[in-house]
Amino acid sequence: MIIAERKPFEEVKQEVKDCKKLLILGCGTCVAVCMAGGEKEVGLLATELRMANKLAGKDVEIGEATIQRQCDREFIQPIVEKAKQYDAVLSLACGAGVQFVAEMMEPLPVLPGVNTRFIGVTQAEGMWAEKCLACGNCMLADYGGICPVTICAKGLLNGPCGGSNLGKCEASPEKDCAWELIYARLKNLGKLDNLRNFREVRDYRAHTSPGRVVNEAYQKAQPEATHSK
Amino acid sequence: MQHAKKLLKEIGLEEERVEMFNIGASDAPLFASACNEMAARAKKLGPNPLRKKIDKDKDQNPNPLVVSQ
Amino acid sequence: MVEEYEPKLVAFCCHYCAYSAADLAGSMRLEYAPNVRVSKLMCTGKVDTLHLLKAIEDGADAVFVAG
Repeated sequence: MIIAERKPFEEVKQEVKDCKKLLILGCGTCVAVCMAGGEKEVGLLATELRMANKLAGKDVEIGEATIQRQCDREFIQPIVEKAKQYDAVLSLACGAGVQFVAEMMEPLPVLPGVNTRFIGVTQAEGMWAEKCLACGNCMLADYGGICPVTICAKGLLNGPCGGSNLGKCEASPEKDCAWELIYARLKNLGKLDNLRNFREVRDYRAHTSPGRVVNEAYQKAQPEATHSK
Repeated sequence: MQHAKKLLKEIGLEEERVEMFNIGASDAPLFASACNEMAARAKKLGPNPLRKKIDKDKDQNPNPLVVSQ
Repeated sequence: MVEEYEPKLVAFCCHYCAYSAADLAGSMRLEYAPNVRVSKLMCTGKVDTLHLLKAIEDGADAVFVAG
């Protein structure tokens, strides 16, 4: 899932300082799970802003709404009409959601309320860790299901580098050495021989930006007009 | 609780306005003292600055918490 | 304004601990601040930051959780 973090309150306040009618729009998928932009966080931010505005003597109307996903037209469409009553939309979705909502709600300004961090997993309660860089060329099969591109600070495909110390990375003692993890995993799997293979340089062409995927079944059917920029 | 305190501070209110007490079922005196403690704190801090504004536009926004005494 | 200021407090109480304590305080005829509004919860684990902030937003002068 995509992991995001709420922007500092001061920054949000600055973003919306000129709004008289503001809609805070949450997203019920990834950012709801990582406690950054779900229904609850919308309520919390709305309450905070309302109180701060009242204290500052500003009269701002703040609306709250949360949709299931901000990365699909079907979910955004029903909220577009409602959003037109507002000066601006503060979206608590990931960057993808913010952009898609902005595209569909033009010319309404759509502002981000969270910082999108990475693709990751729930490591512990309230703690998330990055697991995938979306490099476009998955090599997990060779490394026992641990991604050296993401977890190794240097992204080495033929590690370890020699800087690891007691299982920790030399770049930061808080980070695990990906290659120690890979070694241990492959040993458990009885596939240590994998490490004898030399892996050639990563194909960076698979990671061009912006990426686009068209399902094979849809390749011909897709009319030109629906292509996004 | 810590989070709520932090948020209040961010908004510009006193963090002492929220507190957590641990009270056993048989600890009535402790409950009473907790109430008194918070009442004293609220007295010291003065009225919630938000309340004045709510009172002012009470007609449009009737609020169950703000019943005039 | 200041002279008639009576603070309004909200107490979020656990049904099994503090609410019973409050009940008992009544039975024991203990005197305590009269301006506490008690909100009973089945468990204070239910209390969320949002509840505390909403209470303050709606004009409470102080809010506490007792459990």
